[in-house]
Amino acid sequence: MLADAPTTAKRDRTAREQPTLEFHSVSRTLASLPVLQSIELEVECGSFVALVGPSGCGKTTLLNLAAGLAQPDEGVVLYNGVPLLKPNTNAGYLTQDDALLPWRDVLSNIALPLEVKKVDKAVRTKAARRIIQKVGLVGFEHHRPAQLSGGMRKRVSLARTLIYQPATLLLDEPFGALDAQTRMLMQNELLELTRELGLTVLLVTHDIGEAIAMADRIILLTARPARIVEVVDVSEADKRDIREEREHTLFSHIWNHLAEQSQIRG
Amino acid sequence: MATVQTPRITHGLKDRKAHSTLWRQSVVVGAILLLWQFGSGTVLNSYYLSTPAAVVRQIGAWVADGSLWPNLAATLMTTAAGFAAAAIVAIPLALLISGSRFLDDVFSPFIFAAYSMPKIILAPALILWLGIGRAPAIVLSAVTAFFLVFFNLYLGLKTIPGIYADTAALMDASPLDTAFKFRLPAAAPYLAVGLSQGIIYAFHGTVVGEMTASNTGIGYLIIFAGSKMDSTGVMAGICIVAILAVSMIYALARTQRFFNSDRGDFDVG
Repeated sequence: MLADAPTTAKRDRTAREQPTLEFHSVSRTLASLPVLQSIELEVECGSFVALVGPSGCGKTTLLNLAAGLAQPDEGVVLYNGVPLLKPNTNAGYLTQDDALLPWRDVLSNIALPLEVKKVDKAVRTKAARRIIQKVGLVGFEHHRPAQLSGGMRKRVSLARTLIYQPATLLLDEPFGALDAQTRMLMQNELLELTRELGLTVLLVTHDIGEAIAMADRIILLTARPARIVEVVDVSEADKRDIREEREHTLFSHIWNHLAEQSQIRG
Repeated sequence: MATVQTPRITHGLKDRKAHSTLWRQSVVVGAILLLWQFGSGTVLNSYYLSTPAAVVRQIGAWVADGSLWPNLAATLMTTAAGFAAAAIVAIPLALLISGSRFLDDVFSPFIFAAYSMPKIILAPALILWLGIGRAPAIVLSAVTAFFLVFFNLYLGLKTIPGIYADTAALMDASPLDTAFKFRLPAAAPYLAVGLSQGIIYAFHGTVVGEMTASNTGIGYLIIFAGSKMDSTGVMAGICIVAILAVSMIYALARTQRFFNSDRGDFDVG
């Protein structure tokens, strides 16, 4: 239903015809429980799409399909028009639990994708340092993940995902475990980064404010088995409302207090 | 089976406690030696049991006539060789089999079956194939140690979160990189347990091999003394094996502790 009417006119930066990610009547059953049911979904290049639904409804399964880590039982998932039959190496996947290697420090965790691609050590270290600067982790290059806070670990995960310059980001409740303040900071940073790099983003979240603040389009899913019930295009006015709510006097008063107290470090 | 203990740094009170435990343990050992020394020949037949003094004299005689060092060296070298062979085969095999559903289904039942068999039944065949000497002892040592390294690592690799392999797949890592940069380090605590148990069992396999199919080594000394009805020689050999085993366990506990404290950030859950 939604897929039939892509609002291409509104998104001028998605000039390309081919949607980046397509789900065509995708169903998936896990341990004889239907998890996804006839999902029709198109994510246009450069768009930011949020998936919202009750917890346990199959959102993560949907992302796993988009990452090529699982295969649909029915239907097909296309990436740039090609069926996804193996792990999607064009997509950066930020899983719910961080997948950092605890025995490596921040720098070598972030450089890992390039190391695996046999990129020269000097080159990959340079690239890692550049991205460390971008996500604000300077000074923590040689910390182990266990020595970092949850927000900082997310930054490391994000940096490691961005270093191999994926065209698409798959984000599974990336900020769910963070405190409200860090979450908002990270949302803003991520939004800036995705705009700067022109990334296509598929975000799973249960935070409605997060979905409205970040996404161009929100897809509402039912409880399991997940079906798409509604597709909402988010207008600039909606985003402004959320921003205004956040800038509400009391809110921003407390916010500023917290920001001062904790030198704005995740 | 494969549990990793997180060591705690002990200070003050605990140190004193460890001290008094050591003291009490020394008392127990001393009491047993005294009982052996003075019970033997009075309550017990010294022909069967010998005495601690005679055992010490016997070990001294072996040192003096130069027969202790070559045999001790043979036992230790065989243990090292058997252990190394076991680890070199077990580590890649565990990575390979635990990493593939197909290989796992086909091969692990055979490995479990082989594990459940007593390794000593190989001895006659090894003598037939390799003759009497170091070779059968090394093979028996390797076979015994193999299963400890293999199963600890295999279970560890199956226990680690699948997210490591998924991450490797998304990065398009080669099978070799997936094995050695992701899965093996993630299972390192299990590997450490497997290797330390492997050394102990390599030692067991070595002594058993020496007793059945060799003409050197501490195991051979024991069998040789036994064949001459020399209870002092048998007890001396057993004491040397006991000292070696205890030293090995002690040394391993130290290295394990060092290893764990170095990588205390491991999440083995």
